[in-house]
Amino acid sequence: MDFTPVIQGFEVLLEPENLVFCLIGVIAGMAIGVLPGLGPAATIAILLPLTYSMDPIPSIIMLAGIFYGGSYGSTVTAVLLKLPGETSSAVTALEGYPLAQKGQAGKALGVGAVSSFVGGTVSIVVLTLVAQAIAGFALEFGPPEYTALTLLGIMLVATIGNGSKLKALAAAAVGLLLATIGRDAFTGELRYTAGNLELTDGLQFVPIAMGVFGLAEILHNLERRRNATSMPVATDRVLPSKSTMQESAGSIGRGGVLGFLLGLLPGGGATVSAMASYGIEKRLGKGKTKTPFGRGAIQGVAGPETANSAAATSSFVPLLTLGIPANATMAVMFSALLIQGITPGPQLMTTDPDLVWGVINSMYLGNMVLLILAIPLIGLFVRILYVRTAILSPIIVLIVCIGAFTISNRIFEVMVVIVFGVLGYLMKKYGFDPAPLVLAFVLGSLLEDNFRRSLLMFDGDVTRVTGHPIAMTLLGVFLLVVLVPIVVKLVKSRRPDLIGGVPTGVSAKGDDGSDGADRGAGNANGGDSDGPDHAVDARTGSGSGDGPSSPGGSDRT
Amino acid sequence: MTDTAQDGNGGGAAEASGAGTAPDQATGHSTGQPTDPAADHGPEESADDTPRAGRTTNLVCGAVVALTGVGTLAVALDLGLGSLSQPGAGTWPGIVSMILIVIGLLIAARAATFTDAEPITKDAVAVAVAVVALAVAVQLFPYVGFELPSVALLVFWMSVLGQEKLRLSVPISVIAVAVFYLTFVYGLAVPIPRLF
Amino acid sequence: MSWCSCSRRPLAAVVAGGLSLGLVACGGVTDGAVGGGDYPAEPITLTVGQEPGGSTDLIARALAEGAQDAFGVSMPVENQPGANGAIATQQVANQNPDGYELTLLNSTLITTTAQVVPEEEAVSMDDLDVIMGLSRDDYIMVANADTGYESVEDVEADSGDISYGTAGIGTGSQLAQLLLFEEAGIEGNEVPFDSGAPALTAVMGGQVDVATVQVGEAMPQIEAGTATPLVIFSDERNEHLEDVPTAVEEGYDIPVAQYRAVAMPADAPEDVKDTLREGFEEIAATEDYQGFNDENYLTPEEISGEEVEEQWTGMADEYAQRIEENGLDLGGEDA
Repeated sequence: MDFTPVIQGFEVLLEPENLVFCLIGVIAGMAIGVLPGLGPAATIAILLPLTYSMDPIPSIIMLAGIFYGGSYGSTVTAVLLKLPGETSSAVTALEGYPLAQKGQAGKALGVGAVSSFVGGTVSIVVLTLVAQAIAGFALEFGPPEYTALTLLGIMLVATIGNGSKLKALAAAAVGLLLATIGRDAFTGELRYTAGNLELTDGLQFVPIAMGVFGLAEILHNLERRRNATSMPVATDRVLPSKSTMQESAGSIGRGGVLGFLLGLLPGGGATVSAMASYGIEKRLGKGKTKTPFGRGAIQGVAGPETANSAAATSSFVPLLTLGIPANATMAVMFSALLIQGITPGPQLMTTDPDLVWGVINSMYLGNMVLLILAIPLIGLFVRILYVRTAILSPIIVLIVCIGAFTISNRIFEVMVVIVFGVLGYLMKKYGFDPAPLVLAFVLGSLLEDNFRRSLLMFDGDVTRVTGHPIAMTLLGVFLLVVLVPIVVKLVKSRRPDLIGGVPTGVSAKGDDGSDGADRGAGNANGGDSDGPDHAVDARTGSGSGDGPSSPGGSDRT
Repeated sequence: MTDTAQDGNGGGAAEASGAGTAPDQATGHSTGQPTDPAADHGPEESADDTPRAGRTTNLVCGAVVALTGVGTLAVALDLGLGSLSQPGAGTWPGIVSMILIVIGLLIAARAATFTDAEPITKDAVAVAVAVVALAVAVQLFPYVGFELPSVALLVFWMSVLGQEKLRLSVPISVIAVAVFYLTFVYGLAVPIPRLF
Repeated sequence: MSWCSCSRRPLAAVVAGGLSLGLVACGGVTDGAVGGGDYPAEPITLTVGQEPGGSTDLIARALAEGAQDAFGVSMPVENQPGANGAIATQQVANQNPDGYELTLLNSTLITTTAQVVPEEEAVSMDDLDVIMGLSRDDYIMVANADTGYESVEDVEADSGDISYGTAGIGTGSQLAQLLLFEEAGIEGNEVPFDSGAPALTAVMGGQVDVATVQVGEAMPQIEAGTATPLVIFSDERNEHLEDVPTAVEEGYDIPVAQYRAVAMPADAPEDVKDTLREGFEEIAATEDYQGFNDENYLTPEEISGEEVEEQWTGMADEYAQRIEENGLDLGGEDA
């Protein structure tokens, strides 16, 4: 293909005026993005009016800056306070927050910024090479394909949780049910709203995540505070060390590829990418990482952050080549383009390649400026943690409340945060990991809607899925990932000498009841809110990674 | 190793309470897993020296999960299960509810084997008080604006729940709310109910 | 509400993010008393019941752009999405009719959504005073180019084997599509999507054969030749698509369109309403606003508030009748 427009796109960007706008965008985005509840989409929406009177190129550049600044802002609150502002940073919180608790917030945020930069870079390079060729990929994804993809996603979600897998599954099922609240998109019936008009459109992700993660954490600490004595050790460096980067390199690579591919899919691909990356890293890293997953494994920050950033860049492909906004953020960008008199659509790539590349490259520039800005700022952000809990907690709670209000300008969302804060607190107390609930909630309506759409398309004849090769492939992968660990376990139960010899995770089951029961038994050993397998890993530092799921573990009960 | 133990302790990030006094071992340590000594013995030993909620708690957990499933299943049946060619509003919630019931029963059945639940301690009163105070303050927003309830909430949480001195908590609260006011009302033009 | 009328005082008229970031000078921050005689004395809030970035939101923002010139005060747009705008509309309807709280109404909320939601949820025109009508957004049925469909007859020929996408329950898209298929005797599988864009994507990917979406959404695909326009659901042809026949021309009397209007709480003082009407007429006459309509394929429908109320009530009645006649099931509570 012709690379001239790509290069020209960069030339335009590097004009000093545009750089300044990008800088302003990143700073503004980060400043607002660190307010809990205000994720990148909300941040762009809030700052959108600023661009009305600007020219198209600088305004898009500024929005790209806001986008990256806002995303990073969500990462910052997710890591420091366990308050994610968007789906992908909810995943980052899973490992980032434990790192922050160990005084390694700087490391988490540093790796986050670098991974995000690398993800964007990988994505844009591939994009430059194949954008036109892959534009049609998104169209191949219809309801059956999404059903298969989200099934795979749910399977990963079930394994994302720490602690008892049975309880994690319960949390995931509740998450799926929470996603059904509101008006049914197919029949118009109201489900589980109890006559409350505020629930007509269902619950939103951000208040739920802020509740069960952030507020629950604060409440849980409130109960335990009396015994706490020490602050996190602040022996932190911000620029990731060479060894940290070596540890993360594989995760970053995989996350980049995954994010790029899934980001191409409108309507949920980018959402799944961070989760998928985390799920894969957790499986691959089991027993091999320096710190086990759930305790602050840097791979669990690097992978999802890369995936997220790569997906953010590649999700411009369906927007600019097909005119389909891939997610909420893209929808806001779409309207920003419309305001500038540009209608994204199939013809934009041929009629106005400079603009297309200007937009894509500006995302890249935003990413780069973010990296340069973030490194010095991280040290500043981390200082939040020096504030005494008794003072910091209520202030954060209040920001969360106001932030929740801004989501749709109603007190209702604030009450949702409080209710889910209590639920999250109780879940934490009783050994239910809240992460599967939050993530299953995200995938819930995607899965249900596409499942039902598929049935309607097939007129109830499920065998017609065989006519969809991509869906069949995904379902095949799903079955493989579910079945392999079961088979492995069966084999091992016959040959106890193989214990620990098979690195594959056994965490993939889910729908098999009896299997779940066995896991429950296995978990009995772990006297810790964390997964027993991790606990074992932590203690022995061994690479075996199969822990109590193996018969040996169960026998000790 | 140290990191494992620290995490078990509920994490340092928000635990900076130099102000936290009351050295209540039994309650405060309820989750502090001394994992290190157990390093070579397998997990079960580690659960011994800390109070853990036992069989009953997990039985109740399982029952609550199963009953939630029963409740949502009832609603799903009411919505109509539909058919494969015409899936109804209740199809999907019905499927998930049934899974939930099975999981709940399994949790209940294996209740004795779980050791990952914590008992509710008497310090949980602080949690309840905090939640109620928060809910009340938020409910007051539409009537008297967000400023006064916010200041009151901050002072209450800092000084009553957190044992900070009033001469510290009052100015901090007022300044914090003033900053929020400037940020959200002026800066971001958020239409939050307000008095001033 | 409470004693604290000040809690509803219009917002400081700061462009979002402006002041705190020091990017723009803060303009028009007023804190004057409400009802001081000289209306408008402070910013006028325009509430939108849809997400930022949707077509309703864009229209609101296009209007608000001209407010400073027309009214001498700014007009912050507030989004309060939920229940197809019902939440925002009810919230505005409960405010004082002092002219500082306006909302941008979607006709389908009154005419179509009302058919599928229970009565207590339905929004009534009685609680609102419409200031003036704004524009009409047409629905168009498009087909995947590969199907080879060029007209409604082609679709009819494949009756029974058709799957069609709609923009969801209780939308004009669904109503128009169902009425057409019913009257033309076309049978097929309805596949509802969350909004027009995914329905259109499904047409492009061949997941469904046809779909009915708004003209503005379909236009880029039509121009690119990936989607074929079949029929447009409005009284007259759309000036941007002169070649596409209307449903009426094809013999199906289905005038379904999305109209939009500005409204305020009922029983407003006449002088406030007059000021507002004159101001909006002034905005509608600006080149910027007209250009906006043009770019978004909107047909101006700048009629008086009374005409709007008459038109919409008429449509609501007609739709209800047509739905009953044809025995349609749009979904909803025991509908």
